[in-house]
Amino acid sequence: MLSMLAFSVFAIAQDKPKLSDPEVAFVAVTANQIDIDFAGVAKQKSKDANVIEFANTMERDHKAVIDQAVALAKKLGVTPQNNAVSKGMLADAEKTKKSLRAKSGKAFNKAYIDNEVAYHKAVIAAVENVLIPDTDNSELKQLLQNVVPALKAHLMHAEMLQKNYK
Amino acid sequence: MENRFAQTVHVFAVSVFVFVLISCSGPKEKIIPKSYTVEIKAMQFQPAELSLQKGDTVRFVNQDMLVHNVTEEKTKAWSSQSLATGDSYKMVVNESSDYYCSLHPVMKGKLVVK
Repeated sequence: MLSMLAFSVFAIAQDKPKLSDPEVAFVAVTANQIDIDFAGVAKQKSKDANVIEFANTMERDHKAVIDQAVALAKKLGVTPQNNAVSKGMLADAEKTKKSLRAKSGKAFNKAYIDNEVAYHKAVIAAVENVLIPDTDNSELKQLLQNVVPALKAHLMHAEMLQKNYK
Repeated sequence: MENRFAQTVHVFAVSVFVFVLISCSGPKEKIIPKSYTVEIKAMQFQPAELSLQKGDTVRFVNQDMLVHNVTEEKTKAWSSQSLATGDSYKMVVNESSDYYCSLHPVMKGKLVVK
């Protein structure tokens, strides 16, 4: 269930016509904010030290990316623009958070980490196959390219933890 | 007069012998410690493995967009503070060690003392 929701991020982005740079910026910020929100739920619900530590890393890293995206948008004079892709992502994220909040204990830890694996896979695909190709501005494109290694490291970290919550 | 000259030559010869003896038996050439840099970028330590001599210095420089640290992996025997973009951490290496970023455990590196 959670994995299907996360993957729809990429499906929505692929089906839409080319995104403008202000739309790309909004999608990028939204994708990062969604994972910060998931981390917030994890910190409320979990007592597992590894899960909490992972959530803290997600919060810190994704906030850093948002700060850099916002700073770049300001420098370029671009106002991030809400769009159908980001709206779809937020709607999916609400369903995921509701599903996560309904769980507790080991079931929650497993669901949160499984979702982190699926979400990062979907976001990496969306960034590489949609956002980077759709971006015209070279600095925004470079920022998105710089984020990919971090997303891949997050995915590997989540997959490493996933082995403990089968 | 001749005797005095012979004495001078003798003293000179002994001095040269002693000098040569000291030169040959003195401490071996001192190894000057070297300095190395490990860059942190694109969620990697570069180079990931560094061979060096005991007493050499390594400086870790964070050139990535995120905060990282450098922590000894097995017992956390040593660790840098959190390194923001542009920050660096310098240490003298006395033994081989595996290290990682405790914030991103998939980032690993190795110091090999030869």
